[in-house]
Amino acid sequence: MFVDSTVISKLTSDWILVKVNGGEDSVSKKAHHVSGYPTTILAQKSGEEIDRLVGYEPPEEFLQTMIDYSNGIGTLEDLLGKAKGSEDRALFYEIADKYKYRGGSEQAEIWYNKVLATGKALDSLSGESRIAVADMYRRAKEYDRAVEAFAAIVTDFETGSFVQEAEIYIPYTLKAKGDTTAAIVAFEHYVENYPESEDAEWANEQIEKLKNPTDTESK
Amino acid sequence: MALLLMVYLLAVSSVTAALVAEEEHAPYFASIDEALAAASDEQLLVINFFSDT
Repeated sequence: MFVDSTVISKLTSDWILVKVNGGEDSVSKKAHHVSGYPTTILAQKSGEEIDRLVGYEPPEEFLQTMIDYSNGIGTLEDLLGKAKGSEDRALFYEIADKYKYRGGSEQAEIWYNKVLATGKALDSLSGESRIAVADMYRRAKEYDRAVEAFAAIVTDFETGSFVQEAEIYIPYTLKAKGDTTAAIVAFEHYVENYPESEDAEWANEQIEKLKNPTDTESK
Repeated sequence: MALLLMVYLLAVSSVTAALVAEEEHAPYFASIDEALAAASDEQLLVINFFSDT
């Protein structure tokens, strides 16, 4: 990110750059609610976050987003202002995502629920919102609640990409919970239903590992 | 002899490549506290969290 000449020129003249290895500096990672890499946060000298970018973007887009953020464009605060009196579900979803990435789970859920309350129950934004909420439960280690939410997606949507996504999350969550037997059954169910999918091989590896844990894994 | 020359050239080019990469990388702080201490009141911080694993 900091190796593109255009980005370097702009960044070093106006801003101060910091690179934090999240794998080594867990304190900073936790303090800033970093849940994935790369995460780039634009912050004031006071330490207050202006906004953040999660994931990779091409250099020019990355730079433009940072410039916009520094001018108050596209930030959470900006979007919250636009949402007043609005019924723009895509905007609600964007706000929810911003809260989620900042670790503001309660606020994120409120905004995902606004997406659900203002549109069709089985449309794309509703599906994305329900997956996001269920995944927040998983990340918060509320495993039973997460499995219940993923299972409800399977029941309600019946077929399609959200069902497939929920059906790979269910065994993954059960594994994290430590319910090995249920995780194996759910992984097997996934492989049976989606043998040609990208995740089928990974699911088979998980089944193998759960059935034959190494000494380290079983401790 | 040719092999020795090739090894030498490879070594030199590796060193050169490393230096260029170092020069082309934007100067940055490796700690948020150090960056906060160095920043003026008007300056913003761009904090990039990464993982090398």
